[in-house]
Amino acid sequence: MSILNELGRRLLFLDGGMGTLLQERGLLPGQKPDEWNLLRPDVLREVHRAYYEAGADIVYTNTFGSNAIKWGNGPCSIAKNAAAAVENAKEAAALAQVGGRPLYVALDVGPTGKLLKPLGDLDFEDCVAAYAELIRAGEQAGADLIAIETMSDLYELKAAVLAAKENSSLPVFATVAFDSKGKLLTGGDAKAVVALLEGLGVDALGMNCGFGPDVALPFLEELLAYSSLPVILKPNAGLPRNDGGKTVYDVTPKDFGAQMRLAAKLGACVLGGCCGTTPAHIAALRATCEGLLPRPVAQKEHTLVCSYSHAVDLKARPIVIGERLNPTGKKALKAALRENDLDYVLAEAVKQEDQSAEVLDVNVGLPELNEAEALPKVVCAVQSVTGLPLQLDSSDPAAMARAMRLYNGKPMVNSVNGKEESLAAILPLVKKYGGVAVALTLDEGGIPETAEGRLAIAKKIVARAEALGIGRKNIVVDVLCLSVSTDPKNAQTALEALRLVKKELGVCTVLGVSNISFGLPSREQINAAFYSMALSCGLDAGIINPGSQLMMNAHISALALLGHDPAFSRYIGRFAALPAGAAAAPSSSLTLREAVEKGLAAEAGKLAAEALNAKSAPLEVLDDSVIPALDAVGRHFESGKLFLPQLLMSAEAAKAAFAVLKAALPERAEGAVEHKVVLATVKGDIHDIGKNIVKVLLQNYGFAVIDLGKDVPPEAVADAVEQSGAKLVGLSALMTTTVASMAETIALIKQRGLPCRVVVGGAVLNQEYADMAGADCYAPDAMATVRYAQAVYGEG
Amino acid sequence: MTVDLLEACRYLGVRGEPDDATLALVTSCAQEVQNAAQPRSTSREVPVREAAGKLFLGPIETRSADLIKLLAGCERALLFAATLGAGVDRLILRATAASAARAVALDAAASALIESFCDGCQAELAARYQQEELRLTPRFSPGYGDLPLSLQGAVLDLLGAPKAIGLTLTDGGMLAPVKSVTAVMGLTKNPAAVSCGCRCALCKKTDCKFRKTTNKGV
Repeated sequence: MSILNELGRRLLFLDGGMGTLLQERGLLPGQKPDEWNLLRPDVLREVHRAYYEAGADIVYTNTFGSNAIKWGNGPCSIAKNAAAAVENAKEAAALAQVGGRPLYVALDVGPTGKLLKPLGDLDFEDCVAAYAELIRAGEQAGADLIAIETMSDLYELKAAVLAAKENSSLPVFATVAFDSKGKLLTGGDAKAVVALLEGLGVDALGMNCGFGPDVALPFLEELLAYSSLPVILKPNAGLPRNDGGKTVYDVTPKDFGAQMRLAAKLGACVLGGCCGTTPAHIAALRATCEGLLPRPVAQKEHTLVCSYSHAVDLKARPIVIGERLNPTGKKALKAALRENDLDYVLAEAVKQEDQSAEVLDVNVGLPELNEAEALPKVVCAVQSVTGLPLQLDSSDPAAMARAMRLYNGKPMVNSVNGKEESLAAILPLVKKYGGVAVALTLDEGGIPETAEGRLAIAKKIVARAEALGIGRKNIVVDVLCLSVSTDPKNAQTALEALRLVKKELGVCTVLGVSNISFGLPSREQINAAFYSMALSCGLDAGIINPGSQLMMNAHISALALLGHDPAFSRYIGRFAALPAGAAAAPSSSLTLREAVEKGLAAEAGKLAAEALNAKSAPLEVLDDSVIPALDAVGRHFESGKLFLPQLLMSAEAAKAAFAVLKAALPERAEGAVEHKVVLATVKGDIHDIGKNIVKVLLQNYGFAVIDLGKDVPPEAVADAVEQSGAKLVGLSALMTTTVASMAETIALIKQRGLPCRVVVGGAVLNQEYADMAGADCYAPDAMATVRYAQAVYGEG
Repeated sequence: MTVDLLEACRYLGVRGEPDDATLALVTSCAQEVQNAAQPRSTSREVPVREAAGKLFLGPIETRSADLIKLLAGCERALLFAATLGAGVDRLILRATAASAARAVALDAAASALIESFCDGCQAELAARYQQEELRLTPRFSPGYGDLPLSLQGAVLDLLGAPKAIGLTLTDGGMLAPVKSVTAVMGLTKNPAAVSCGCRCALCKKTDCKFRKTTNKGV
């Protein structure tokens, strides 16, 4: 019988702690518990059997640390160990005296003990592969289900669940370990956990470890509020406490049982224990809860998207989706994407978050770009700088598949439409990876002219999604607004379609609002008015420019008027601070040179614009104000009169001025000589702050920096030098241990005979280390690198 | 637990009094770091044994004349690990995309904060051992003096640090999250052996830019 036939129909009981029991039976500190599957099968059988006989329906195999990443060079293969672990549990089940109750064996899947990129160095696909190996072995050995547990990072959790779904047909239970504030170690909350796990299609979800059932209850309630799946609770016997160097747990079996009964009454329907719990706890748990019927699992209607840290519910109140990461009509972004200038893209992402966007649309659709490569790369990079959920925006199914797979969370998927080709390509991806799909109301016949026509397509998409098992709560309909400049009725049609779709289908809606004004002057005015109207017709998400005052004013005002801002606190927060008729601030009394020297970026940008308005030539402004200011600051830094923070603040002010002046300069002539510098933090080193400082300064001094990032293998550095023809490479290392890989990198550059110099820097480096590594120059600080670069390129 | 602003300025290479702009920057970054930090620590007592130049800390074996000297007379020691959590790393990554000046100031503030967090943890541990009339030596971290950085892996393993506090090691032997510390502290009955003064005095890297010349630093 499959566990799925019983799940949710009666309370199911899990086993309790394993580690403490093994230690009591002789496991030594520092020894891996999983090695006992083969070394001490007798002990494992005894422990498993004790749990079955105490009342557990399901025991977890002793494979918590049996993934290749944690197991490392263990004494035998993963497969052999997993097979022994499953066998031990099955033998215990055969021996256990339980009066004929059905007993199940769950393959335990625990965390790798490593952090995934970008915080650590573990690659997502390597993580999936490590879990896949264990899961295949467990299924082959005869496990009845997969129990992914104690996950404290959403991305790792996703890797484990994907591995389970892709490599077995067994039911999947997944539980996370929250801290005492209800967050995962890397920040995810209960709502985000539910969004991710439901999206990935697990069979039951919940929490384990951390603390006792009493502390767990509020977080359990949060899980129950959002989950449409059966919820698992497997807590510790209280908070771990240190007693004379030993970890002890204080909750007695009796209290544990009583507290867990409360959890069962709240709605948890799979119950067990984690650290510090014993067969006595499980016996008390079963005795106390026996006879209780599980509360029926209600279907929740929240429309949740999430990042690694939090979820956004589109049904809670209308949200702003930032539209700026889309190259259509944006010259600077197009150039940045073409030149692989991620810095610009990331700065735009951060800016939109500061402007109160709640989800960011990410589109890299340019004919000259390979979207299947570019979209996942940009998505991962954007997720390294913002915790906002993303809307993946592509018409290329391959790009969408790759981006959805690597996305850390449950994304919005922009888009699917009524065409057969689109339905067939996109809906299965949503089913597999989870997501909220944006459904465009167009099909082979184009965009229907009437609201009813668009409703019909929305209905069709919803039906097709539901047939695949994707609930309508995960569909957000875009009724498409066409420009009023082609037909004034377009606005009314879109508004009518919004109303109809909301009424007939009860789904959320989204609109790319600014399309309405295409071809008109002062587009923002029409956009803002239309946006307010759309919100009042039930729009749940506007894809807009959060940098537009008018649009955000309309958004905040409409939320207040539509009852989404009780007491108008958000409204007052935004507008109370603004003086009546807030005008542009009076222009500063500083000169541009002073603004750069003082590191005032906003003023520097403004003053550069004023200088251009006063008919100064951009190059003149650069030479007369910006460059002398930078030189003065650089000299003061070198003489110890001012320090790194001021140097960098000036650099940023200069950058702000450059940006204004550059826009006024003619495009760089084809074939113009760029002074290129390749920068990298060497392999094995994940500290890149020093390298980033050097980058900012080099850019300031006009060098074209090719930034390879951190943890860069020697081959990648040599390849970049070869391809770019850069005459200078800058390598950074923070720790003595990575000076070796610096030496390796330099050796490879020399071995390939590349005509370039190498400058090195970083916390532990000195002239001696630099010489040992074979560098041409040791730069004690960022300005020294600039000076060396100038010397290499014969400037300065 | 707060950021020592002057300490953060010192990490930024500021010598003498910081100017107003720098102090304002560091102050606002310190606030952000404090908000983003989820400081966690864990420790475990191990027996100390020395034999033939080798040092045994429970099941961990290492070689370090410096640590042997520090632990002279200690029968037991504490293995210790602490981290500000992933949120601080994310905060710095985010700032890197917007402003290099803020990124370095956040980085420095976070370095100051992890130190003051460790000081706080150490004070708590010291109070706990006071009943046994034991004192703590200053904490000594892998990578300092002749104590190999590679010891970090064994310390994290024995502490179960990835699960307990979310502190992990990369293949290159670096701590992730970055703003983290591992350390060894001796437990001693000899009050004379305890130095509560400047930890820089223990370090042999006398050419270090950040070496404190007085107990007050700066």
